[in-house]
Amino acid sequence: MVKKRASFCRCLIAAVLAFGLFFPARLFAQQFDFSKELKFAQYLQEKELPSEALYVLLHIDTTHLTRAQKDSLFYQAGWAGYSSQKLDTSARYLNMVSPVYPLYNKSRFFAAYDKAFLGKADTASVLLEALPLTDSIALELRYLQLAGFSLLRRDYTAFRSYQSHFTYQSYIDSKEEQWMQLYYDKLHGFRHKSPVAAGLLSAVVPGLGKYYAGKKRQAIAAFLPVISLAALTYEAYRKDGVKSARFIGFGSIFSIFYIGNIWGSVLSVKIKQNEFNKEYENKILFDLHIPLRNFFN
Amino acid sequence: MAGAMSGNASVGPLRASGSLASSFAHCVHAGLTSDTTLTGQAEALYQAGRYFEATIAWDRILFDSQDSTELLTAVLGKTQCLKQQKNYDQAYAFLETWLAYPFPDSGQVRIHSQQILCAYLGGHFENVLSQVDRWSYLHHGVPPDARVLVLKILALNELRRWSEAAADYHQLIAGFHSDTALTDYYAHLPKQKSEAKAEKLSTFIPGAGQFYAGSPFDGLFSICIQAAGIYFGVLSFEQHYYLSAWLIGAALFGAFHMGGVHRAVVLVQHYNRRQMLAFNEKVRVQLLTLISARKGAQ
Repeated sequence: MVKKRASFCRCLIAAVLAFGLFFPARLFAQQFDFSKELKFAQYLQEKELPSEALYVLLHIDTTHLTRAQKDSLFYQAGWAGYSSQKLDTSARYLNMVSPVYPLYNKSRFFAAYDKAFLGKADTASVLLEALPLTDSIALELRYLQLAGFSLLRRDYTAFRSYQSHFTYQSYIDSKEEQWMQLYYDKLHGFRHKSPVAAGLLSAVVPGLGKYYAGKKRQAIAAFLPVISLAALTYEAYRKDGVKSARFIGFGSIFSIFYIGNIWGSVLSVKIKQNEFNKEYENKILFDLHIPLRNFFN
Repeated sequence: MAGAMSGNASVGPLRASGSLASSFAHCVHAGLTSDTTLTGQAEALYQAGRYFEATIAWDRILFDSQDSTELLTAVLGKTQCLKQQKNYDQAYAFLETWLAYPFPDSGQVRIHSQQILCAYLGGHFENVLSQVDRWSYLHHGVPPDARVLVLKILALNELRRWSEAAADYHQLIAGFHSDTALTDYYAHLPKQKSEAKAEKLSTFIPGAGQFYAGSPFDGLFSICIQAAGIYFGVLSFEQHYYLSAWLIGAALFGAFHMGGVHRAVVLVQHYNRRQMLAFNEKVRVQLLTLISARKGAQ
């Protein structure tokens, strides 16, 4: 019995010793491997292979990583996603960076920008508003970003509120502040044209609705075939009468073109408006991006 | 590059379970090979057709290793993966960065040959010529390998610089000292037709440009459709449908006439391209057969 107990104790001690020796070694090995993986991902990023870097980072096991290691991993994955233009992935991982990480602010700013680029300006604003900032330049940069996001949402009241904090003095974003003011003037002052008016104009003179919508070349392209078909229909009517196959044939084609032109004019107002919106959204996003890169890089 | 990320290479969530063998080398190669060396794993991925992951595995060797033999294998392995993904321009730029690395001369030669091949496959024929010109300077006066000269000849053909291509071809052929009489393809250069001539022909004789380009059916179709436009116009005019005569007959004729002229030019371009490719293929097969035969004899 005593022998058995002694043997059991020896086994227990051996197990404890083995665990004590093995576990730190295992942890050390994990940390060592993680650091190597991270460096490898950085190497790939430096070689302008962000997709490859992202692939490597996303295949790292996070189970045994410390908080700091996870932050480094999320930041790198977010940045690799940003560089490879996978903005959804970028936003997801940059958002996972914890506030204790030294590059937390940068992560948040870029996550917000990613969201705005993906058409989620609301989420982008929420991300930035919750950010605790003390540095005056960073604060002004945030006002610029928030003002830009407000313009993307067409929330002009919010824009004016953020714009009141612009100093137009910061070396980082003074030009972009002026640009935002200009974009606000353009977007706010944009005269919305009426699709109904465009349709009515095209009913009176084919193509005139498109001209009114701002599509001048399309107006000419619509006018010529409709007028030609009208002339052919008139000729068929004059020479062969209403019941002739010639009149019915040309009349039908003319009707299709005529109605199609009216419908096209109604749509062209919306298309032109979308083009205008897209143009200014691209300009806003471009001018939000430049000061971000200048400030954080 | 996103396109290259296919199949198992798709971006997934971070792995939150499993052992720390999650190091990339283990997780992507699992079940592929019993060879645990990175080189073996990269080759296994390549053999499995997982070129994107194989590229990363080769990159890992380039990142890790200091051994020049291993590095050379990795450079060539990665190049092979990029070529399989048809990323010839990326492969070209990648090889450029390794040209300056102090590999042994034989390694430098292999890298440079691959770079010239990538330039050719990427359709940058002027780059092929400039790289061949750099050859002697980069490799201490050593003349270019026969395969490189084949690429130069093919690139010259693509650029339709026939006389230079012929000179290089004859020089290369002379070096083989073949016992059997070889066909001199440059004695009969591929017949190249003139785009301007096709344009003029189609302008004045509808369909003639297409016949000249070697597409009689296109020519006949063009003649018929233009004739139909004229016929309709004349008939309508005679029946006093003046508007129909102009707006349908004349408009149809005009539109198809202009289209026919353009079509003739496009057909000549296609014809010339086909001729050149067929000629290039004959030259390529002949020269590569000679090179293989000489290597076999050695």
